[in-house]
Amino acid sequence: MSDQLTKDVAMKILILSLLILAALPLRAQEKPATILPVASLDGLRDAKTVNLFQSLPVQEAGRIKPLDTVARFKLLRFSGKQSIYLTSDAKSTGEPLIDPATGKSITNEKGKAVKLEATEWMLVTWFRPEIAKDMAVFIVDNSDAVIALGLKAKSKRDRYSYNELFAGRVALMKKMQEVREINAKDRDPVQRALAKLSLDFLDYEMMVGHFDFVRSPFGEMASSVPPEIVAAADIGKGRTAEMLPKMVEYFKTHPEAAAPMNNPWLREFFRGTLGALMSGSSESLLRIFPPVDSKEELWQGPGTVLQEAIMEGKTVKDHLNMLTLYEDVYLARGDAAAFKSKLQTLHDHVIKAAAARGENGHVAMEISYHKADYFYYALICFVLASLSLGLSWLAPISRWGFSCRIVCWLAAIIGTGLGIVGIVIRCLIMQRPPITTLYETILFITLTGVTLALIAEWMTKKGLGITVACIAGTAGMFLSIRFMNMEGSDTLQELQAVLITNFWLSTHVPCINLGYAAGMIAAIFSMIYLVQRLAGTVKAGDVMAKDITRMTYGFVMAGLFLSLVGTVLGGIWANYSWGRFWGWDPKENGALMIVLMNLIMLHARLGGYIREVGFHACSIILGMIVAFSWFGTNQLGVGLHAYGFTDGVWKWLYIYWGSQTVLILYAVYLSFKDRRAPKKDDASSSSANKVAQIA
Amino acid sequence: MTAPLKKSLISSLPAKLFSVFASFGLATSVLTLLLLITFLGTLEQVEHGLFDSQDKYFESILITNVDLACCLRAMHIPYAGAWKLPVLIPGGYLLMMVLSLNLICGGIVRIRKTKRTIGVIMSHGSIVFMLLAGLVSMYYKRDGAVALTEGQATDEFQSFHDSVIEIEKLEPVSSDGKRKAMVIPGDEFQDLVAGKGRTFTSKDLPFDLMVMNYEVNAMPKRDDGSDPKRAAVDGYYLQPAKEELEQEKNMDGAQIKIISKKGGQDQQGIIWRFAAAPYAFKIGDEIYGVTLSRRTWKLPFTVRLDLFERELHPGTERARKFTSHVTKLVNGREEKKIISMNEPLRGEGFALFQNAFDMSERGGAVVKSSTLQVVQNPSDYWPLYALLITMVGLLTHMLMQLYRFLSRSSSNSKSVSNV
Repeated sequence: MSDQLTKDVAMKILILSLLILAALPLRAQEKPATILPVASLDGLRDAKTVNLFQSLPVQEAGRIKPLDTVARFKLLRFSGKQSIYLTSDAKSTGEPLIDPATGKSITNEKGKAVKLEATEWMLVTWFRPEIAKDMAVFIVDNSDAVIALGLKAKSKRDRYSYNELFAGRVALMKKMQEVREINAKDRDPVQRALAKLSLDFLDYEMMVGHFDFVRSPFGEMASSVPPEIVAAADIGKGRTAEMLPKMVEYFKTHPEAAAPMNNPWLREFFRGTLGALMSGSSESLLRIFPPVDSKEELWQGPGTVLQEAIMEGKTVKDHLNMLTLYEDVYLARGDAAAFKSKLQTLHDHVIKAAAARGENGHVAMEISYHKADYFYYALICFVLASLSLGLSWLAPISRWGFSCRIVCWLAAIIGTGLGIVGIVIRCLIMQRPPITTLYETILFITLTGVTLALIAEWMTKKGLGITVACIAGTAGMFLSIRFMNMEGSDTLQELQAVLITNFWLSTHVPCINLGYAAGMIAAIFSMIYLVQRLAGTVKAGDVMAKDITRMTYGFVMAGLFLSLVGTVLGGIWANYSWGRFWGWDPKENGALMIVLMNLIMLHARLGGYIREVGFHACSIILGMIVAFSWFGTNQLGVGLHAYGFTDGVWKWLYIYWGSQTVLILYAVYLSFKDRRAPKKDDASSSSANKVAQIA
Repeated sequence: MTAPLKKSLISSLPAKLFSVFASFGLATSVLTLLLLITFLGTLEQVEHGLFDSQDKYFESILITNVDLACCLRAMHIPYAGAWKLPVLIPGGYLLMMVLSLNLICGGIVRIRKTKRTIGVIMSHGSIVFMLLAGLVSMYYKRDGAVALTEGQATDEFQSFHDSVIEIEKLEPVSSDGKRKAMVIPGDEFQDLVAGKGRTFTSKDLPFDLMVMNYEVNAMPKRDDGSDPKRAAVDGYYLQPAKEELEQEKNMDGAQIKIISKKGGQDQQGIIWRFAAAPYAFKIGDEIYGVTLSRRTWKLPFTVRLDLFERELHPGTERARKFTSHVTKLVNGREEKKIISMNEPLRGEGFALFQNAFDMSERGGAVVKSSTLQVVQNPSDYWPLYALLITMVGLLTHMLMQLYRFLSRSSSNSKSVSNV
């Protein structure tokens, strides 16, 4: 992990310094201009064209995936969304952007702003960079970061375009150097915003310059390129794929020319190469050329082919052929029919080469998975279910209440179904059990929790399970979407060596997560209890109170079983795989804390130390411990399970803990109140004792 | 009159004790304290490291302070100062002992033995067994590692944490050619910090060895004479360094003094764990060497690393697989084996795991080495057995409760419908 980070950072520093050294003097004078011939926006948004690009297999972060996924997560990282409007503020309500080629504003047939899906947006950055530079693509969470660059800030959290930030570019790079010196954990919000913005800005600069290597490989230095590489008559017409072998030959006889820093035309060429690579992170270079050599695992891409030629003096015929096909697509951009046909040729070639290696991946499935957006629609279903449940309470014993409950059940079941289908498709794409990342724990815990709550409702029919299911479903799906946006990277990740074991991934991991789910559900039951006590709809020891307590008790019991078995299974895995059953690692301790809290609740109840209110207060604490174990332990930055620090998690944790503390304080107040109240209280305590005896 | 009273006092005292140890109150308190120390011990790892936190919280009898400042910072609350809160909380060792006693008294002996409680009794028994497994492994488990370059073979491994001082006669070499070393265990010299010293003596040695100024983490440095208070030996001194969070990364060292029993001048030296050679000295015609090293244990077989492979996910630095191809040599028999992540090599009471690797350039060539973790643990499989019993016990209990809950719900609803 740290190795990889160091390399990434090293790569970024390399690119950064090169960009600063090489690009800046020229770039500063460069004015946005339309490059002829112009690719029509409608042509780029043509369904077939988009589909062909979307379904190009790419090797990124060690995995074969559709180009669509790459585009989605790039746009998500930059802008916080997976689609974008061609307007001044990237929202549907903004002023439509002007197309420099036509001078007209960009609108659809109905005269409204155009919305681009992720792949369409990527195509605009490649083929119409002058428009892409005006798109408000960068979300900045803290306007002070923009002010720090000497620019005019919009609102506190707003979107900016490349052109808007360009004037602050030098300042941004300088800030980036400063912020890099500070440990990620110790950065303040402005520094975090600057760190993100600078990386995004550089990556975007590469994207808009992606086809520079075809468009103008030597920039303004074209006339100084030696005739051995490009004959004077061919300047501006030469094909890069044809030039590369000549360049390699030239460097053999003129080694002094091979250093980009001393050779202005090579420096320009290198800038184009960086654009062709398309990312500052070594894991995310655009790799769309499957190698012909079956032993070679690493795919190549336009940038790596150029890089290989100028850095290693090496060219491979098959790679040059693919580069030619890739260039063809760009050169045909002015003619919609030719563009599509060249794209089809490239697409067929890549698909065939990938299939020959048995590496087609699950491209079609993955595209449909992203399009279907299961978890978003599941969220909508759960919101609908919650609303109809709320409405049913207006007149519970009427036709209205009945109809609302039917809608609620249907929406909850459809929501759960959508979520489960989403998880299953993820398993099919990756060919592995459902939980391998923190994001996947959110999906799994939510959906199993909702399913358990629905089963509990079906068995008891008290209206409690369904309430919990609606709350858990809405909160969990919202959290999953929020978390994905916060991380801003592909949620389908290749695994570290130690996790590549289907046996343990399908036993210990689900078991522990089911334990989390049971704990959270128990906590939600208790929240309902306390809120109902506050609202006065439930009184200590009444039928409803007993029902809620019994169901909470059931989930605590189930949680104990699942957490205990899951934790010990984890220990057995650890003992089997690296020789120690227990290592007091933060994540292990988190799991142990859940087990202990479950045990405390059961024993304190048996001993009569806590009654109804006390039990619910403890169950709220259990929920807080689950949150600590689930998210907090990963944020400590120590131990085996520290998968990385996610910005913003602490804030959410404290919001949750804060709200729960308020409930606990209310519970403490209630327990005093209940104790003082005569008569009724005895009934409640004797009922608790009865349950205790039974237990 | 007084005699019966005394008798009843005596007879009731054990009974009272038993009832305390068997109580729910004790169970709840011990579990709550365990929860608390687990939480604090987790947070303190952030600044004090796993080893120290484990020692302070989980393997201790008493905890005397809590570094609240560290805990706050671990929880992302910016608190710059120091804040050590003096407390007196029972440590993990004591709590687990009491918990075991409580489980036995309350959860096995006193509990009503009916059909309903059979699952609970089984679970309690299995947890006691699991705690016992932990105790056995705490005292009898040997845990260490061996680093091998390709082609290298060994039949011993070194402890991860235990430092020892080894005293060995280097010349004349013993007649049978075997190495023999006297060992001073770490707990006998690791307290000798900051000017403290202790002399070790043995009737088999012609000298006494005095160890002093032990440093947990230090670097030998050339003494430029700038600090007259510094204890330097032969122009070198040990420059103390900040303790590492991972205890195994510390490079400990100490000063030694050789006091010859035959008279003559004392000799002084520095021993350091990463020293290239033992500190050697002459007593009469014999040459002795002293080293500060990790405790070494024998393996009942020889293991040779034939080949180490590392696979990465293409285009990334993320590991997909680490594999050590080894040959195990037992009684002249050769067995080819593979050790990789999640696939250890087990046998003869030992287990060898893939732990780490190194690919560094030495003399122009890449030298690959693989570190294998070696574990010998008598209670290796006990947690598994305990888990199986727990699962059966808890499941039995839960299903019986669920059955009662459902049958009660249905009888309730029947009675409601009757009304």
